Amino acid sequence: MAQYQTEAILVAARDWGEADKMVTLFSREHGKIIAFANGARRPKSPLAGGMQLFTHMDVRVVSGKNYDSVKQCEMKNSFRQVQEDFNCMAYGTFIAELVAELCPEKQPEPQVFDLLLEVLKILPMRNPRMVALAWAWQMLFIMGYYPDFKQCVICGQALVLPSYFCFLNGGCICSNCDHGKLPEVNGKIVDFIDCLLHINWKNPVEFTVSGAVLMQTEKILMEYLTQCLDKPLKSMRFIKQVAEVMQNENS
Amino acid sequence: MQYIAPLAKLIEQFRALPGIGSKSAARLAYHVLEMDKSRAESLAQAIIEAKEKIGYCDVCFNLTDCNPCSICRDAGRDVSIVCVMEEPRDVAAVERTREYRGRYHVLHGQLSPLEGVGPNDIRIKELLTRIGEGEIQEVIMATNPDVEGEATAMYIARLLKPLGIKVTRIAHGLPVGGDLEYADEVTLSKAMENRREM
Repeated sequence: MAQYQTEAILVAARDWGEADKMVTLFSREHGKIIAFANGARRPKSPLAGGMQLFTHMDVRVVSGKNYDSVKQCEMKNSFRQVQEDFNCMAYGTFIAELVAELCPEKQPEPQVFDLLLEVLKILPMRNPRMVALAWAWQMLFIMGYYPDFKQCVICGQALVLPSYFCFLNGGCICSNCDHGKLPEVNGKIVDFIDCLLHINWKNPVEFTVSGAVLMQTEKILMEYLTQCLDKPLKSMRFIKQVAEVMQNENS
Repeated sequence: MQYIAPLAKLIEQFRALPGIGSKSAARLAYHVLEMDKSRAESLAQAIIEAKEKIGYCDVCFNLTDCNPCSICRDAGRDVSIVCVMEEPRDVAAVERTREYRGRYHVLHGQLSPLEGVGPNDIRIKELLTRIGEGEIQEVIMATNPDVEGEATAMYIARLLKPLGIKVTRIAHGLPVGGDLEYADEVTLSKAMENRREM
């Protein structure tokens, strides 16, 4: 059985069997890896501490006939601040889920890996909601799902704003094409998405955005992601539910 | 391999149990076939009886065969302290220590963004209702020390703090009998943070 060592970030984990975990690792050299961590739920397991969400580590993985197994891990950064702050954890999970869903298995994406590390570092220092939003648009761009904001995706004409976002065709359509009840995309939204897309995570600039533009940009993103992935993101359902409960508690 | 129909059905039933693969299922099925008829009947009866008699306690939501459960009815237990657990088997683990004399509340899960489990999917509302009755002064958060367990504890603490309830978290640290040199950085740093004066 082949063994390999790689630098990875844990982007998903679920309990498996009596005391095992099925983990999704995102590695620099091998891309997304789905592996089993046997006994990782036992308190004395050397894997227990490392097999936690967001942990950045060096792992030794054994390729099996049916599945890979994590044999060893050495933690580099546990991103404790992300794990121990509720909002950071919730939006961090959204960030991790996007990686797990958009990246195909065993296909290296070193650019995504380096960006993910930077994003997890900055998450506790900035507004987690904004960081997650920017990350999602950047991921769509890197993975080739970025929608067309310049040309109408139906008739091909150069777009004059406001245009309308067509989820099915993956981009904006002009007012001459049948736009029905599609959400409007104005200049402020296009500029905001462009600003999010060009954020330098090592030195992010400060910016302000109106509530209406933020909400519309989020709405477009969520519906577009659901269209791209063919299913809604579970972490988004969680974030929405928590927001609703908190709103009810406060009112 | 082709099994005769009743045997195949039995193997299929065992295979549906957690942690049982097809070989283990076949082994169990052959074992059942080798049993006396009376033993097989008592096994079947035990399964049916457990299913029929065991339910959830209306107060703490632990597994019980009487309602409220024996722990909630025990007058010798401290009603002002409630220990919040994820699953009924966690209650059994704490009870084995024979150290804790308060009561419990079982959530039946943990908040998990990746599994889409939100606050409305576990028994948090029921905990708040219990606290609203006014007897509880301290809530011990004994959820698992993983990211989801921490999130659950943080979320409940956030809801309870404004109500003036004392919320505590079980300690994190090294397992008894473990070697320091093999402990990971997070466990060690949490052990240092939670150190106590001797």
